Amino acid sequence: MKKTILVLSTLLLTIAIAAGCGQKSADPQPGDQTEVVQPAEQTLKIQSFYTDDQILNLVPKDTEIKFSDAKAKYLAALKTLQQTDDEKLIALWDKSEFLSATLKDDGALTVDVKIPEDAHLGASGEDLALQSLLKTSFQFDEVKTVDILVDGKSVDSLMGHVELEHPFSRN
Amino acid sequence: MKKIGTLVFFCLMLFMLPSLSHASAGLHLYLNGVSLSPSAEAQMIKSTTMIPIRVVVEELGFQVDWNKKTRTVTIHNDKKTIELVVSQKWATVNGKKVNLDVAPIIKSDTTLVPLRFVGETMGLVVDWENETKSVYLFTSDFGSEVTQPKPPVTQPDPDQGGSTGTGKDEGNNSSNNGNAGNDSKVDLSEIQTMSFEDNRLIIGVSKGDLKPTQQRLTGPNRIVVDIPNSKFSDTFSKTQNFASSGQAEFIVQDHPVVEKIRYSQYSDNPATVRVVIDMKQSQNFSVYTTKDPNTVVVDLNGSSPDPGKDNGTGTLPPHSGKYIVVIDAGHGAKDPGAISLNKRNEKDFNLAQALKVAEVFKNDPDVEVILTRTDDTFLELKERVAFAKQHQANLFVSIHANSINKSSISGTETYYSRDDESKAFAQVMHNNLVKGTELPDRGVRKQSLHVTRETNMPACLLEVGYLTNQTDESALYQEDFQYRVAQSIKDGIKQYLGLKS
Repeated sequence: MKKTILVLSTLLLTIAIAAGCGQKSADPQPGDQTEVVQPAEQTLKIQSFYTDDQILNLVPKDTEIKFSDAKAKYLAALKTLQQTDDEKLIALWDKSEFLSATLKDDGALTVDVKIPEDAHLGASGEDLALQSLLKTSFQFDEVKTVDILVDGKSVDSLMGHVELEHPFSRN
Repeated sequence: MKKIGTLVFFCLMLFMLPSLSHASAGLHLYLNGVSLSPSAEAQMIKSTTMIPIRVVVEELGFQVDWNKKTRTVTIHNDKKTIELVVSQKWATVNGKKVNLDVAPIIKSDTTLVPLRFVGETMGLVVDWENETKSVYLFTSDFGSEVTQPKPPVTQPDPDQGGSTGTGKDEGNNSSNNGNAGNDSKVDLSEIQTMSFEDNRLIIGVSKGDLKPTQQRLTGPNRIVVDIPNSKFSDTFSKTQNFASSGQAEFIVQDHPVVEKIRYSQYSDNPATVRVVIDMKQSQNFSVYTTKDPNTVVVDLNGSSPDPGKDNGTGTLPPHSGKYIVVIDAGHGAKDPGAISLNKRNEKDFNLAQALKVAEVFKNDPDVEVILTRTDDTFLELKERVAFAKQHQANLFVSIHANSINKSSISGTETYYSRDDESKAFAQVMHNNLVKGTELPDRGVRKQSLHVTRETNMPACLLEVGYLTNQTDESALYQEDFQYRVAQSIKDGIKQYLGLKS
């Protein structure tokens, strides 16, 4: 475990340094960023979370994400939750859309999602979907809090069974 | 009292004699003095006698259902229903949760259940003869010629179910050494005095730190207080006129609200004294304990001294004298919930189902159903919780239909969040619900859901079926299905509250 963390943080540090140079002068708003320097594409092994066909537990699975800008890492990670090639597992976010995932300097990650009506899950589905989002986000040490918005709005609940905290803190 | 005791003891002695001849063998079971068949094998586990469920059916004559999936044994006759789950150290009796000393187990494909618990709960007198390793069971009507019990003073009362055994106290006290399953000799608190003054029933006890439980029941109105780990002191017993039913009482003269007070050794294992206050009308009350002097007080003066405190199971059906059950139709208005295969909204099923539950409870003498919404409106989750608290609901049931992006998944699930009474409540509701839905049983699940976690009464959430499954979906929107499910929800609520359905 210790070793994994060490490897992971070394990796993150490398990415941060690699990405850092292009960003010092860049606009902190992620959307309208004009990329002066094109950083090399990064590949990162992460854990993504799905559920079993009993919809009972969160099941972690190793996945790989590719991104060029460190800021895109979180959105790339969350998008892995939308599908899995493991037939025994169910991807809980397959019909939803991750619009953005932005990390502020203080470690506050804001995730904006779009949940079409036909993506609404039952009680355990919703809870597991929420947990999968949080676990996937909090595996990055720099993420201290996660605030989930629906279509840019701060709402009480994603699908009407589990309440949202604004924001969720790492516990 | 003493006389009856001697008679019963003598009676027991008569039946013990023949058993001495085969004292060398293992455990022996006798029902009303007749030896049960050798196949009725009992086993000792942690000094508790366990018997196979087959024996419960074949030899003791109770009805038993075995649910292989949930590993639940249901034992019942016309009055009582016990549910035991393999490896769980608790059971429910008419839906009320009780703790067990030893959990039911499966041993070489045979499910074993604790004999004393099952026997006594079902109204048998259970006696253990250590020398001969024999268990003597007596039906409550057996030996009636000897002891001539008077008919009960009041109507057959669910609160006195545990003391149906004739002269049970005496029988056990006279052979108090090594009762099967009662070997962990806890130091019991003794009930020493009982008095009623200033609208307070004050029960003097020898030890403090008792945790009495309370219930308010209607039809007739009465308050039931159980004092665990307690028995009547010898001195107290001598001054009391215990009827052969094991019950004593005193009349409270000319009181506007209280008629009389009854008390009995409700159970010997665990030792529990039950006190019942028969009321002329429904009345708020509180139960608390004091130290120096050690007392248990049932206070009818106004509200509880600590109104914020949750008083535990089945407390206070309020003003109407009925139990209040809040039925919550999930989602609504802008929140459609899940969308079914045929593009129908979950919120519409939830509402239709909730309205049918209210309909089947219409004019119910014991239960008043209140709906969080009766049309297509939206409530936030916390508003649903506040609604239940404001109405001082005794139970909370949220109705939902399920959805997952895998159409092969089908069936009924029941959720709870708190490990208090909610767990047993969810189990009782689920057992009934699956009979109503006739869909695959996907079990009782614990999940942190807002409405079941933040309410402060037993609460569960029903996911009746999957809107994303063809079979489930076509069933869920049918009227007759919804009526069947409404009835099963009613059955569950009534079973949990210990009411006749």
